[in-house]
Amino acid sequence: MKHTFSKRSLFYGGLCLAVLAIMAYSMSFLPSYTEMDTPVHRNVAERYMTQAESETGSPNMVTAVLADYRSLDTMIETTVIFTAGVVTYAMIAIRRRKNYIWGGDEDHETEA
Amino acid sequence: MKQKHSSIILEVAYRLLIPVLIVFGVYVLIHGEYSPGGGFQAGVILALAVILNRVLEPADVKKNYWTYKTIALAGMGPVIYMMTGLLSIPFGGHFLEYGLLPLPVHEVERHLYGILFIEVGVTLGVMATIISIFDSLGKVGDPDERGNLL
Repeated sequence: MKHTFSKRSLFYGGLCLAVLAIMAYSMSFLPSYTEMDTPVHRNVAERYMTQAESETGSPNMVTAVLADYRSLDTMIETTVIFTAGVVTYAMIAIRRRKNYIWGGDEDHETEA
Repeated sequence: MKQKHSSIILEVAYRLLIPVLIVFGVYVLIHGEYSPGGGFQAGVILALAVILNRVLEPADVKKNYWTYKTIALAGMGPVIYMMTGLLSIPFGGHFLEYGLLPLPVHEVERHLYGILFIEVGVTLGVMATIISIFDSLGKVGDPDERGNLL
């Protein structure tokens, strides 16, 4: 069976590739791994290691950083996981029902 | 003793593994501030217990299509997290500032309870998301009487 892509899926695929290219380009501005003069090594690491237990009460430094100092980040992470579940559900259920997201010009089986 | 499964391996796994997994998941959640672990790991362990149950008893998987309720439960996780964050704002704190939560304990201990609350939210979100993904995948090609899969 010959497989063809619709214009719509080509557009979204190209959009994903473009975003990926932008991200790869912006990664070249990051400091290299062995550089010891970057802000991440100079500012907060020392404080996390020495003050985490007295400030948060948690002897586990990883939990202290994850859930206390960087808790806004963890909140968005939880939302990302929730989004993954919703998107899986939407793709499987809605696609089989009406061919609604993926356009009508592809050869999916619509009858269930 | 009534044997529910055809294989002794499944029987032992069902009777032994699933209670241990649930207890260990709750332990990882509660004890996450002191030892390795936390919300994400506890959610995965608890979801594994439920998924093992569904794998070992396929009849129940067909019967209970929980996906709506499971996704609602997964949404409760971030909601609990954000409510914990918003709770400190009326008492003069910033968003997610645990030191000003309205709890009658010392300020450092409030941090511990705040971390525990948000870990409960993370656990709920991760657990219900994994279960809903498993249920969604199990629904492929198995429609209801009206022909749709919702």
